[in-house]
Amino acid sequence: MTVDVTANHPAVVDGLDVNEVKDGLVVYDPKTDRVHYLNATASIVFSVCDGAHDRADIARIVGTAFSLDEPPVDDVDECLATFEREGLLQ
Amino acid sequence: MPGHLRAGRPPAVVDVTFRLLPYEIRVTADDEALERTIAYLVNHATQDGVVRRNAAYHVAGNGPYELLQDGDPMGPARTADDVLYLLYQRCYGRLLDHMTLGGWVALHGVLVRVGGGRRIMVGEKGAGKTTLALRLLHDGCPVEGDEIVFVRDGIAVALPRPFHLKPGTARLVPELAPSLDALPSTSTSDGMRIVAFDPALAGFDWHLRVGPVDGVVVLRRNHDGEAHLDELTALDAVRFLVDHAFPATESRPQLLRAAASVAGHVTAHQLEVGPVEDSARALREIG
Repeated sequence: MTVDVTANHPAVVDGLDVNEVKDGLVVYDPKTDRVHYLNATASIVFSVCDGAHDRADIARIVGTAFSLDEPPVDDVDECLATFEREGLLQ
Repeated sequence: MPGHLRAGRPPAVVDVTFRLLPYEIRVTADDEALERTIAYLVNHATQDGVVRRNAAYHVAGNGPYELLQDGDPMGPARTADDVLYLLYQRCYGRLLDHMTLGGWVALHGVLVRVGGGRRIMVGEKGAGKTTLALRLLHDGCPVEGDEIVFVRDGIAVALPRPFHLKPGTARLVPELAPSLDALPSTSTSDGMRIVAFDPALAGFDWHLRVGPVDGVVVLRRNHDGEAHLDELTALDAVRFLVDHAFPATESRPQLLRAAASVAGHVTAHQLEVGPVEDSARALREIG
């Protein structure tokens, strides 16, 4: 899994249209005219991609949210890689 | 006053008035033979809200016909079916435009109170929406509409249109059989007879409300199998609504907002539609 080093403090791109639903987020990217349906885990990752948290912070936040024994670093990396591939990260 | 009433013509033989949400539609015609044709358009639903606009249509002549809208020529119509087509397109087209401009998004679906809540049922073409709606109606569940549901800001209202019954419906909902021949009908281009069923005229309380929904049900065609109900995530329900919106002019963000507002915070289910009685029972047992 490769994550761009610039995404160490990842931040989502501006201009996304975000709709909250009870088990996730529906995100529309007007630049690509694509809709992204984010499940609960991806929604938390997305919500803290604000440029203020690094990958370790994000993994810790997700781990706390789901009462995990260890921060899910690999899962968060995979999620960030997907966001990056889909053009959701700056 | 509509132009055709000012022009000193004799009173129209056919004269009906009905509501399409904010519109009050009046249709008059010189030809008595058009009475049943025009009846296909008419609904007798009680509708929330108030009338804000009026539209008057007149069908002049005894065939071929000339149609007028508010006194202005609309165009010629050779046959009664042509008259129906033009009136249908104009009346419902205006309503769809009006609703879309008002921020409403049109979804293909049924709006019904079942299983302790007001639910939108959506499904692929041929999934059995209308048949299931009719079964539920006869089982005592108030059905508001069987074709289009307008949604916006978490609230919904059904299109006030008589249910369109295809051949074979009476076999699945036998209570309909005695009355079908007497109901207004038309034929599709491939010869299929479509009957207009007005729940109010059949004795049901047909009330179109403007209000929130409690759930979304996605119908999957499984006519050769068993009826089976499962829970569905809100994300999947929203995705289905987005993928099955009525083609209209609303923007993607508007469509997503409307779908998320109506389906994003309520219960969602998926129903594999098997035998209609079993499918209706599964819905009644939700919650």
